[in-house]
Amino acid sequence: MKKLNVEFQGQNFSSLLSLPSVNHAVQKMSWASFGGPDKAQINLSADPVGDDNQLWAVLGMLRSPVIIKDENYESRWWGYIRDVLIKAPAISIGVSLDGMFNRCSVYYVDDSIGTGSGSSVSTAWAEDVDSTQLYGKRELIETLSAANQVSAEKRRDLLISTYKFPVCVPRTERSSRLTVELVCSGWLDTFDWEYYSCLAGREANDASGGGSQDIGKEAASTAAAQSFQLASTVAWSASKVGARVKKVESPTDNFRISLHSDSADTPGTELAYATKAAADLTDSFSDVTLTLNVAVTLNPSTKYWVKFARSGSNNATDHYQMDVDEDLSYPRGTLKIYGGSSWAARDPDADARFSVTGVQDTTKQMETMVTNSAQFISELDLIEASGVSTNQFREGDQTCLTVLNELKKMGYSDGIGMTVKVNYDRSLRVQKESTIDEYLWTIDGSLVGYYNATTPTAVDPTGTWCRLKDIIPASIDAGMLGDPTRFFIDWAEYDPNTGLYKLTARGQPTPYDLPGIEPG
Amino acid sequence: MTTELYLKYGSTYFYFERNDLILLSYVPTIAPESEATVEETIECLVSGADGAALEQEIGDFETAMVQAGIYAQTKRGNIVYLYFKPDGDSITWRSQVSKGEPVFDQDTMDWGWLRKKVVVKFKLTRNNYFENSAETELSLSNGNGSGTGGIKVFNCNDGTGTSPNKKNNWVDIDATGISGQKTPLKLVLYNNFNDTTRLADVWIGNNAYANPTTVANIIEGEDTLYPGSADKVASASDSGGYYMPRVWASDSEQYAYWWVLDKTFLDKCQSRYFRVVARFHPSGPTTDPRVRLELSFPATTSLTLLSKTQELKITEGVEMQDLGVLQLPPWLVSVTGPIYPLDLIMMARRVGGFTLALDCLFLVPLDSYRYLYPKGYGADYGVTLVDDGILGEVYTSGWDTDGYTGHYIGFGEPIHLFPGRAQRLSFAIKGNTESEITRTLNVRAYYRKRKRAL
Repeated sequence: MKKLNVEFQGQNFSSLLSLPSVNHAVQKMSWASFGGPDKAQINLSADPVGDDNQLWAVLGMLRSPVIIKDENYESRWWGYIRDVLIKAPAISIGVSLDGMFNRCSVYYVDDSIGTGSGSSVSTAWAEDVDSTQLYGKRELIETLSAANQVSAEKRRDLLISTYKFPVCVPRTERSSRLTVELVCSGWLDTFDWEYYSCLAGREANDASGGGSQDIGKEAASTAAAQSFQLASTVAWSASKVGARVKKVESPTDNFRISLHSDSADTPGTELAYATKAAADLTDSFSDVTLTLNVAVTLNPSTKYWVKFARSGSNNATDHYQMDVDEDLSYPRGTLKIYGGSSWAARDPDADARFSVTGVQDTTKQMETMVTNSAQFISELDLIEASGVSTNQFREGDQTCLTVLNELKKMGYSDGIGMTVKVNYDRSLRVQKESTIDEYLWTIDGSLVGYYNATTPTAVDPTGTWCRLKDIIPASIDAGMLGDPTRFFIDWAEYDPNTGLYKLTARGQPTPYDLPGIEPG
Repeated sequence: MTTELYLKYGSTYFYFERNDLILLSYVPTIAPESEATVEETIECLVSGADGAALEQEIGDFETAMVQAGIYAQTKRGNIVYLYFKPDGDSITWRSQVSKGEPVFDQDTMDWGWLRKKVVVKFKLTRNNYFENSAETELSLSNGNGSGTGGIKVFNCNDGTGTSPNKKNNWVDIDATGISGQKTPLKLVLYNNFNDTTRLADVWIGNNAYANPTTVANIIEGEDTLYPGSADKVASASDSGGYYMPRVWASDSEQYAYWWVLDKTFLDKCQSRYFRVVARFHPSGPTTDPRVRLELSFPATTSLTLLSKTQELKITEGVEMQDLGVLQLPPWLVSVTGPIYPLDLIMMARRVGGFTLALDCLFLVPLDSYRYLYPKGYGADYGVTLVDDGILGEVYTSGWDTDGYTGHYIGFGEPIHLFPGRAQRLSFAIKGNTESEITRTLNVRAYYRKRKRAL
């Protein structure tokens, strides 16, 4: 069978590692339509009478980049060393990046005596610099049900000191000669190392502080307005506004929410508006989110106002109320009331319960993620924008991988799915799924180009369509089935020893998936 | 003539046939080609004046085996070779030994030791081939001459100029008279390009199966179907005297260059693999599009994609860039006869469009392939780069301050000689800042004939 070649690089990506007198044998390698290179297993051994010290040195190569090349030195698989298992005659030593965390934050409910807010807060992130510089950031969010800041920070620091480096673990496997097994993962795996936070796309006060404010009842409560500034440091386009509102008795006009620029610390020029018919409100508080008539670009370090009013005249019986927060939870603005002739601070002071949200193309969101997070990815390689827009705000409690997968699943605006793969140069390629057949899978497990063109050794066939060749007899009546000969290759594994592939169609588990509960 | 069989390391010899040793039996072992080593036994009758003398004889063998193991593990000290010259053979063959031990049969401690004559089986492990103990320089030829002593190659193959400055980027090796196994070469590349820009990367390919002496190994940028020849720009610093510019203003992927590969060319290529190295007009691309090469059918209409290289990003300012591997043609390996023309298309895309200026494509054959890459400095004018596939080392020499360096890395196996076949070594040469078509190397090649069966 054709020999595959393996290259290792230093963790800094800039130096090639030389391991003379070490033989390598790729046991298997796999790819997935989501991510490209998935897993690879490489066995190392010294030359027949070679230098074992070089094999032990592999313990220091965790997170080293790995490139597997075919017999023509074309790159076929790329990723990093995740696990090292050294099998010696007396004992085996295993070490893995799984279970290593070098950056941590603790979320806890603040129960500080006398000062505790009782609400969920988090410590600042802390890290071990030596570990993050060598391996990259691998983040952990720990949750405590009740703690104060001191105890939460101590917990955070303990976690870092315990898990900052991979730990060598003795294992039971033996080998007559010293051998090394490397388990490598593709770069998409590292998206699960970082939590993704994006402040753009949402500015809100969700706290319910127990107060309520009349809107349009009388002159003194003609309207209310909440000033705000973006927590985000980048501009974004607002498309929706929201509030927590109810009607009192039977108004017949509309509840109106509008966005304004600032004018001497009062609502200035109206930038956009949205309305909700009274008939669509209840007499209990409910969250309403309305689409603005036009999108508005909001810039950081700029004061804006969201104004709450009624479209009709004040009425002491039939009017509206909105939920306000008298605990003053919102840090970047104030609530004012329009008393018929001027704006003034509310007494007692409060913040409105409000939201301003935006949407952004999902591929643009991916670009932001790659730029601000995804530490090992060089850039986004976008073939075509998705045309699908969703709210881009992310709290920071999901990893980049989870968010990326969610965005990918939305596909393109014309209904075609999305392929996301890491390229050889560690850029992230995003494009529409292929719709053409590219491969034929034969009865012996080999993969052939669709026009019988020779398939290169260890090619990644995922993300394309494949047909079964000469497997299902032509005599079988498959009229009431989906075309049984054609399937989308979702995952593939190549065995260099046989030259054959295992393929998994979309929707099917891979041979290595654990049984679990399917969502829905 | 008599048979000669001995170990040698440095200036130390251990003969298996001499006063105190009588060679009883030796048959060279032949193992499958996939095996790297073979184990075999040399049976001798060892005699001595007393027990100490016997121990000395056997101990000398053990000393040799210790050194064999040390070198095999650490490459320290001298290589231990088993030399064998069969009766009637004009060549003394050698094979590197990696370990061994003396083995005694049951009678050794009985009557043998008492009589000071013991039968010893010297077991050893050696490489699974014998090689000629003498290194031979191969006769090379191209448009700049033929013979040994060095042949000049250029970073261009448009055939312009006359000997000794004819622009050929290849040398022919006529190995039709050479028998034996496929064997690695020792390539000696002397940087005779008198310029301050140093030699950097070198791509070397050996074509032994794709009509090496007649197949084209350069595709000129000005020979495209699209853009048409009317767009080519005359340039003395480009292969063939021209380069082909290409400008595209849109974000969308678009063909950059489109050639038709005719049936004669494709038939000569014999479905072999070629690495495509592009040379761009000095001083290299001014934009960084992502490009890939495609082969499609039918020619000039490109309706059906047959194969493609991996997409990669062009580097601005770099004249020589590796674009990946193509099989030409990508089908019909077993069919002989004219192959229907195919399109070779370079597709490119870049947000904001791209601007390229292509000189030519080097087709580096992959029957045997080597890529020499310097970790940093490169090689000055006057420095020799040696890719010793026989010894397994890549090094340079000839610096102003005498001394070898090991800062070049060789990717791929060392270039191999295919005995019994005419073959051609092709070169693509990169300088550390410029890759002129006038950049040259002086090439010499050495080999040691190999055999498994003697």
